[in-house]
Amino acid sequence: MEGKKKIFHSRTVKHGSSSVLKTVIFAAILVFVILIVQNHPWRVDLTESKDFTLTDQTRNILKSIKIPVTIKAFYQEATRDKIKAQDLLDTYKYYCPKLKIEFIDPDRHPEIAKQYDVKSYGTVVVETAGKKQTITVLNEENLTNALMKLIQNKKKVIYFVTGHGEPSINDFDKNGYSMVRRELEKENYKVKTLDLLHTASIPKDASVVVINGPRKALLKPEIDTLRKYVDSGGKLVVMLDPFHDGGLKKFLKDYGIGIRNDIVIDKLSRVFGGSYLMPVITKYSTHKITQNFNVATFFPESRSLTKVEKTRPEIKVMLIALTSSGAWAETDIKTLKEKNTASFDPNQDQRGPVCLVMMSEISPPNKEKEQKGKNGKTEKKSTGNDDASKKKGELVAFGDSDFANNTYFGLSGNGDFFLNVINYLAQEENLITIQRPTKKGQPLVLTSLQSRLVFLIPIVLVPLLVIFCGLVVFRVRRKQK
Amino acid sequence: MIEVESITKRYGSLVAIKDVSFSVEKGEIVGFLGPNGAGKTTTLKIITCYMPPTEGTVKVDGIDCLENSLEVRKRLGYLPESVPLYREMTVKRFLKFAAESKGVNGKKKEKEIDRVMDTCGLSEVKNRIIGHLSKGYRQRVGIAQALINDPPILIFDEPTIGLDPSQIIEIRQLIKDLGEEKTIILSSHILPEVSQVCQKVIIINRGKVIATETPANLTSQLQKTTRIILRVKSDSEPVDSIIEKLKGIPGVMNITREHQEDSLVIETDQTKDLRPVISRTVVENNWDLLEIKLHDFSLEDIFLELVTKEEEAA
Amino acid sequence: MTGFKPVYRKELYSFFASPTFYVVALIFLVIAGYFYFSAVSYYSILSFQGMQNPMWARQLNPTEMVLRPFFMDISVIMLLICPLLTMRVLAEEKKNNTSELLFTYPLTDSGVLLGKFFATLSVLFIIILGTLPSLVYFGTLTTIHWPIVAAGYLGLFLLGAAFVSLGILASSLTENQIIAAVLAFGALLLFWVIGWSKAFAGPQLAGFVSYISIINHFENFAKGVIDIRDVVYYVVFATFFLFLTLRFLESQRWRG
Repeated sequence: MEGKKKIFHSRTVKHGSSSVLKTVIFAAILVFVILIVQNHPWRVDLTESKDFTLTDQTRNILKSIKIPVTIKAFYQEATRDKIKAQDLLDTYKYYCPKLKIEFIDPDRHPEIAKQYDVKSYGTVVVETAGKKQTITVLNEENLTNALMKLIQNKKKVIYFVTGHGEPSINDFDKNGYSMVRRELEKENYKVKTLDLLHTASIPKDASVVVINGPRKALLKPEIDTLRKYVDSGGKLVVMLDPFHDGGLKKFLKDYGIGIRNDIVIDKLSRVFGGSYLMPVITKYSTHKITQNFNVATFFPESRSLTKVEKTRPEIKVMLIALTSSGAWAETDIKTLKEKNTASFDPNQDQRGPVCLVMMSEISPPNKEKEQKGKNGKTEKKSTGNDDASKKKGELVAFGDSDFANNTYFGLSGNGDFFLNVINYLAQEENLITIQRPTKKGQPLVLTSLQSRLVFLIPIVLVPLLVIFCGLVVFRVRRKQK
Repeated sequence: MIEVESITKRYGSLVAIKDVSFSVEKGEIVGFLGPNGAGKTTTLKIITCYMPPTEGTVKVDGIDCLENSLEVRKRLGYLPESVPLYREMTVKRFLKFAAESKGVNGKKKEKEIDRVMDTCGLSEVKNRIIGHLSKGYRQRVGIAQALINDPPILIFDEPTIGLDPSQIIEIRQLIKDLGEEKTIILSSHILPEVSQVCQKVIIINRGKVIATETPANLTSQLQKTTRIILRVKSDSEPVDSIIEKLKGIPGVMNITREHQEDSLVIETDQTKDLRPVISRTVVENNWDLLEIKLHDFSLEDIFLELVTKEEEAA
Repeated sequence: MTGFKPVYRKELYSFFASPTFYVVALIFLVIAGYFYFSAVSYYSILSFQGMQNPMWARQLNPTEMVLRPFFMDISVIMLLICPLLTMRVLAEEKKNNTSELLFTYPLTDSGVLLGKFFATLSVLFIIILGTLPSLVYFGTLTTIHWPIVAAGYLGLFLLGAAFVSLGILASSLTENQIIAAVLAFGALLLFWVIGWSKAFAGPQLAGFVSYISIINHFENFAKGVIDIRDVVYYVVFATFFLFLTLRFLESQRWRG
């Protein structure tokens, strides 16, 4: 009896366990298939304009991504824009599974949005190993360029010219520039000093060269070096304090920026807690540098800058920051120094608004000034410094250098403004250009007959057909009862 | 043809059949007898490969049901208990499905369908929906689907249950005719049905085979006595005195009162029919005769008999 | 695989003979038709407004504005009607004991199951194809890129295969059709909404959860992209649940 019971158990148990085993093996095979396919994705894009296929350029760049990259997209939930962004990012993810994509609703997670300094919906932050790139308009061109900049390992170098009594980047005193150095390094730059006397030309790795408030005049060879640099597409920042022109008056004039021996007096500044000699800037002209920037900046003891009317044709001058109209540039320095008073003299002094920050763009001399329109391969090669001669030279002049020193860097928007300028100058032009065919809109305007048919076909005709079939079957079957 | 070797089926802790063995020879019609819940249907389901036995083996034509059930199923025609059919189908469409399922295709299919419809008398209802047919017709459809593709073995589970007498006779005749060429297993709980049709009877109770006999043997074994049911009425005499008087008749062995006051069961010697004598006695005593008849042995009676015997033997 | 053909044909016959099919098809098509109508109307209203605003007009695109939302809508209605089609598939056989007939015919279980599966899927797809005339008419009103439509229907077919397989599993578990339908609907809904939990699942789990989600894989088809990973997801999904059903059928017979 006992033995039989065991047999009974054994047959059922055998069947049960073999059934379980089969299921497990089968599931394992299926998982295996899934894993293989997940790792070898393949797809067909059936859309007319290949909306979900990336260009060769992007694909090549995605192939070269070896480290994990996170893309954080700040979008409101359930919006059309989010769907579009999702489509694009999914397409990237298909070509590069290493990408990690996160959608964050800035309204639900304001803390993350703040952490990434997100100011508008649709901002996308691309991040890897401590580096990040932010784009505000999501499309293939921008995203691919952002990725490209991220995976380029080079750090950009900012040179500070020394040797003329400039505040040092290693000086931790109140007049020093150590704060600037620290903040720039945080932004992933390398900060170096540059002695112009000992170099025949500006180093090739220079992204931006800064001359911050020289006390002594630069020598002619030094100025020639700078001139060569700017003319061949270099980026230069010149900061000149009142009474110290560093021997650059002529140099600046050649680039359309005029300086005079004056000091800016701003009565409005008192309202903001400054002094008469510390002009405040609350409004900025529209320029990429000051885009989305609306914090007041203070320029202690600043000189005025003016636009030189007659310049070379390839030079374009822009005013970046202007004081209020209540300020003026005082030329009567003597009175100011001796009596500590100043008054506006319409004959001598320049009436406000006075320009404190100016920018000059120097187009490359040859005709082929646009970089765009080249095919992908040469573009890839051209990402180095070889074609520096074709880049636009840019020069930003400040009528002041103190505003960014250790004392004033943290004041209001000063630091950010300075960093914006450096970021702007150091940023490369988009490395590649991606042209997607623009879709033509296909508006649909229905005649009343058409709109009636749009209703009738699916909601009346097709259901009627179903009912008709049902009735036919019903009739046939009634006969079969 | 069919060899059942000590099969046991358990549903969890419930034992449906236990150690059942029997064999069916080619060309035999075997009756499978037992009360409801005795395990007939379970046994048949195992033979038809619908479910596997927990123990034991079943071989059909030498093929093991568990190992090669498709081959076994090809050799079987099965009419399950309560005749499950696709009620939404017409007779012809259903038989077409059965034919296709059994691998009959092409021109042969139509022929085969016509043949079984002929055999079962379904031709006039062939385009009607099964759900609307009478019970008798449905039974025939059930048999017809079993006959498709001419399987050598037919298994019918309670083929006559729920039919009216004339239908029962028709179906029995049909089975008898089929039995001339085929091996048939037929389950039933009605003895006469089995004894009329079958050459061998297997009796099963509580999951065990308790007898395998020919019908003749069974009857002779069991019917050592004949029962006569008598209903009489008398205004003057009490029932007890009637019983006393009847017991005086030679050959009467025992008289018991049935649930009805005036219904008496008289057990008599098997060798002679005592009805004439009894009726005369009734007339002589001036009783009113309401009914007198020979009692058919029901399966329950046989069971009582067999089970008691078995228990005595144990 | 013997049994596929007869069972497939029998199932189709049963579907078309039953009023359920016509009622389900009618409801499905009316709802789908309404979605189509509202999508096209919205599109034409925007086009009308777009005439004043060329920037806006450039965004008007029949694929984005009608086809894609339309396919997504159909997938939702499918979620509702699929259980109604699958509920009877095995539950009815069990209830009427016809399974005893079916499984004593010389047919393999897998053949029977596949026959039933593909028959149900065919019926579902026939219902879905009822939406095609509207799209054809839409194609005459504007220019539709037809390969996208093909991708959409392929996606619906695969999604339907997944739905049907799970529905059949539910139907194999019970002999009560209502319970089968409710079970199928519940399970499908679970697979549908599980992707939503991505937000609060851990980073490890999030990938898994969004992979499991049955609707995440449909979006690509709706936008006109056929990704092998989505195809494999649906095929594996359907295969797995059919396999489970097969095991269930077997073990039910062992248990009697």
